[in-house]
Amino acid sequence: MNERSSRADILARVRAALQHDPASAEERQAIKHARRLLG
Amino acid sequence: MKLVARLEQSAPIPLAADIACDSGELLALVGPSGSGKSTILRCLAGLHRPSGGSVRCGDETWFDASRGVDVSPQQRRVGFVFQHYALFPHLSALANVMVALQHLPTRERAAHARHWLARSKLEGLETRRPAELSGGQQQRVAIARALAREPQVLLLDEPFSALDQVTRRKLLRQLIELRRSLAIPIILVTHDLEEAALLADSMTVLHHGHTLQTAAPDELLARPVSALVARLTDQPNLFGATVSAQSAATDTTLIDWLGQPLQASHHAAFAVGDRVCWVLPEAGVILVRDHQADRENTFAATVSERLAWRGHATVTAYIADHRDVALSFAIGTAVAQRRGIVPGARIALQLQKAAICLTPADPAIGTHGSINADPTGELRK
Repeated sequence: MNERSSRADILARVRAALQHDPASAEERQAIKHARRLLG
Repeated sequence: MKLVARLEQSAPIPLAADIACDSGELLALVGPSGSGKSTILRCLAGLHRPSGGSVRCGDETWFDASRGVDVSPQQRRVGFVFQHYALFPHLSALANVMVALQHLPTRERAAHARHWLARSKLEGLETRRPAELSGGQQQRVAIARALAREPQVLLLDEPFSALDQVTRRKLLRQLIELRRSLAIPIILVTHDLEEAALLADSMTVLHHGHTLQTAAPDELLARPVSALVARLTDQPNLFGATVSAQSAATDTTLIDWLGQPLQASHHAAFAVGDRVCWVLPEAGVILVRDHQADRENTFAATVSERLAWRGHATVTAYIADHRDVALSFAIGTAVAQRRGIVPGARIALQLQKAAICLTPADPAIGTHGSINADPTGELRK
């Protein structure tokens, strides 16, 4: 049961991560800039 | 602490911009797409290096081209909210804010991040990733992350552009509230003039990387320094005319418009015979009753359009005998109803002398108004 729920949890996380695909070049560049600013 | 910058470069986007913003002040940079607004923010943050100029914050010099000074972005302590928020998609809201707290001991970071999320009204959403948050919530995480560094300057790059109108209004109110508690310079980039007027203490109008004018929002609308500023700030009542008389004694500059005299308050910079532009904010056009039609600067007009929204009506009326010359003004919808302001209605409009502002002539602005309202298609995004 535990194993099944943790697998479901992982799948949900993967789905969430996939949902947020920084599609535009602008968005990717902004994330790069944020990394530089935050050090 | 004051942020003062002079930025110069010739490519990729030409820049010749002067920016000044005091602690606790909110400065809005407005201008059409490609006018250099976002590039200026990146220069201030150290993410883009201009070829000339300087950036100073309080006693610190962050950038000085002539002395070869260029402080790295992370050393500038700038809070930056990007248009697309730039949250790290693989991290929770809490972890996104904790990234900005590297200067604190590891064990203190989570508590501080929670504090900033709570200030952004995001309690209970700490474990969610950006994809599991709404647009408005993502924006608030981005603001919490920017403020968690306790920045010396806060830069906001079109923070509301990706949001729907209702969320936008809600977050606008929250930002107004938040900024009262921030004693740092805040610079907001926007192409939304209403947003700028609501939030900003002063506005800088940019065009092709040049700062054209910096003033309080009301002042900017009432006294644009050029017809271009009036066009970029979307002033509907902008026309060409010729100066026909000057009288400092009666505080009057008389201009000839459509073959009729129009009185403005005295503008000493112009001589009789000069071509000029005149601008009149919508609030300077007064709907008068028939028996008041002999007042100064009063014109007969016919209503051509009435757009009503939330109790306000924007009315467009063309001047008698000049169907191609339209004046725009705003009244309450109740007044519009009572006075029968519907398309085709004949009305009298007084153009307030004190509200008429003269600027040097502009080839794009004829006597009948803008020859081409948006010649380069750049005024609207």
